[in-house]
Amino acid sequence: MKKMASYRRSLRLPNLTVLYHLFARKALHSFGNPCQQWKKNVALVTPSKIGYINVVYIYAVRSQTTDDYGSYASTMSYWQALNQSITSAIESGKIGKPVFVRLTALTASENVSVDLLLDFLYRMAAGWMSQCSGNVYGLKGKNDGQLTATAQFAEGASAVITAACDLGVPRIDLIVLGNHGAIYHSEQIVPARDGSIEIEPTPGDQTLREAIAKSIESGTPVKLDGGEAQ
Amino acid sequence: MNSTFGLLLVTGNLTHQEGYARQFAKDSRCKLIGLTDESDLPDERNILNRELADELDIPYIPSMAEALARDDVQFVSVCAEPERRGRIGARCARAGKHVYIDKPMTPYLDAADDIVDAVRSSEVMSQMFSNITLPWVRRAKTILDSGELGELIAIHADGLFAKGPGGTADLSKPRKQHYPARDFTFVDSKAEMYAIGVYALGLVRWISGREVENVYCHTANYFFEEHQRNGVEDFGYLALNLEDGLTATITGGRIGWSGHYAGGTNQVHLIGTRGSLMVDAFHPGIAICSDAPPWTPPEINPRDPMGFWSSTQREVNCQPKENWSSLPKPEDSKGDENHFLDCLEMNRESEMNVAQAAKITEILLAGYKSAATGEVVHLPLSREQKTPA
Repeated sequence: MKKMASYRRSLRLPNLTVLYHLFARKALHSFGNPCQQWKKNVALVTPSKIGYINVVYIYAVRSQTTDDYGSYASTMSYWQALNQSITSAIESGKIGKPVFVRLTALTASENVSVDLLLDFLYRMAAGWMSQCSGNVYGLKGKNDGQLTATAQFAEGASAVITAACDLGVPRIDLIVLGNHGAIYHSEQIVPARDGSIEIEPTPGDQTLREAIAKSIESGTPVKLDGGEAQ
Repeated sequence: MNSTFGLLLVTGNLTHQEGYARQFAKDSRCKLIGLTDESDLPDERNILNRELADELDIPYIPSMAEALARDDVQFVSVCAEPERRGRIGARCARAGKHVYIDKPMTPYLDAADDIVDAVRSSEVMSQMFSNITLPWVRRAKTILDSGELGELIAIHADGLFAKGPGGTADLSKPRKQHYPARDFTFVDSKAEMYAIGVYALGLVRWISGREVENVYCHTANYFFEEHQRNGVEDFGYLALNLEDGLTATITGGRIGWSGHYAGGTNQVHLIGTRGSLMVDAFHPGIAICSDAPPWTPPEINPRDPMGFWSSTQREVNCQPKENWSSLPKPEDSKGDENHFLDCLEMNRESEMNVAQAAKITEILLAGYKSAATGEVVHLPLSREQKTPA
């Protein structure tokens, strides 16, 4: 409930509606869900309906103003900007074919569910490699504050993705290895002026999260075939 | 207390002995006695052994038995190829010599168990080369031990070397891992998750002080045709469950000259209940922009296409990348070799002794088994597998 209340508060912020519309329209194209099967479950909803959700990997930006993120457009979240930059770099061909992603993201808010964040990061990474099917293996340990998923995609690429809650400053460390080069991005993400975490994922398609949860529970890898956990 | 330790080298050039021997020689507590190796080796290996002996101005002793019988030899630095390394280490220990051994100690479980038994029964000291004496790794451990991060819940460590002419692997041919693997070392390639992943794995075990319970692993051929042709991986990752609910992942691999702005990714994330920490071997540092000609990879040396050894890289005038410069190490930082001399001098067990190295061997082999079967592999492994004849 705390999380949802926090989320709803975020909707009252002035620039959010614009952001939301821009984001929602582009989400499927720019946020890396390459699987048609997953798209079937997506319903784009209006802000008034976003309180309960059937939207895949849409992140609202809370209390974000233009000068919080001076280095990129005011209507673009950090994640959108990152995704666009990485996608462009890959499409330029400079690193060759992307073969491995190591992505570690630390939130600084207990309001952000690490499994939702992991879901989001995983899909973004899969999008960079234009791959989705394959084996997923989840690691959780005894603490809810950290989740890792490894991915072996059917086409050969792989990924190790970690989402964790750190009570310090949000942070991302990203390595994209291509067969001819690599992309690195290692940054502390500037929090909003009120000190809050700047992203908040909304729950949506359960398939990937269920696969990771199933893997963690069983202690074995789970086959994800076109978005369906086997 | 004996303040001078006589050192016998086993195996010469085109191994890490090139660096270890010189680092030991710089330490006033060490005296180089000679260089030896097993008999019945290929001619090229014998020539390389004699080469290093000549460079260091020490005698080459053809008989290892004779060399190990010398009273002026207190310890041995073993840098034979991994496939021979374990048995030589055990032989040296049984001769009553302390053992400094290159990483990884051995790719065979029975050889790992044997050297542990030899060191224990002979009551000698031992150490496998690792990165746990490096300042950035020590710093991570110090911060963790201070309690600042709270309880450690996850570690994610990377060891990726930016060396070798990449971009030649055929990505349309997914790797099929075999278990047990037989050969790990070739002139133009190595099993890189084994050879490089050992650093990150050793770091995870040392920093956490916890045992690994199970392993999930993936190996791949992403970069080099040479590795693909020889059936060894150039990249791999391990996902680990350790004691007390700790989780860890490690990556290990060789990613090509163009894969990093410095020497490669060597870093660790520590995630605790009260905070987290990321420490990187090349940070802090300074970025340098200039109109100097851009760095270019060295020409391929046919004796060492992947850039394994310092001597062969000198031959092709390999230059360090200059656009990124790490800040200098602390003045009191020591090399791994000096750390072993500290241990000998103080009669103190090394944190990376052969017992620890054997655990690492077992985890890496479990990783190969996992990569071959697609399943999570629980430790300990069955002891049925024997070193190939």
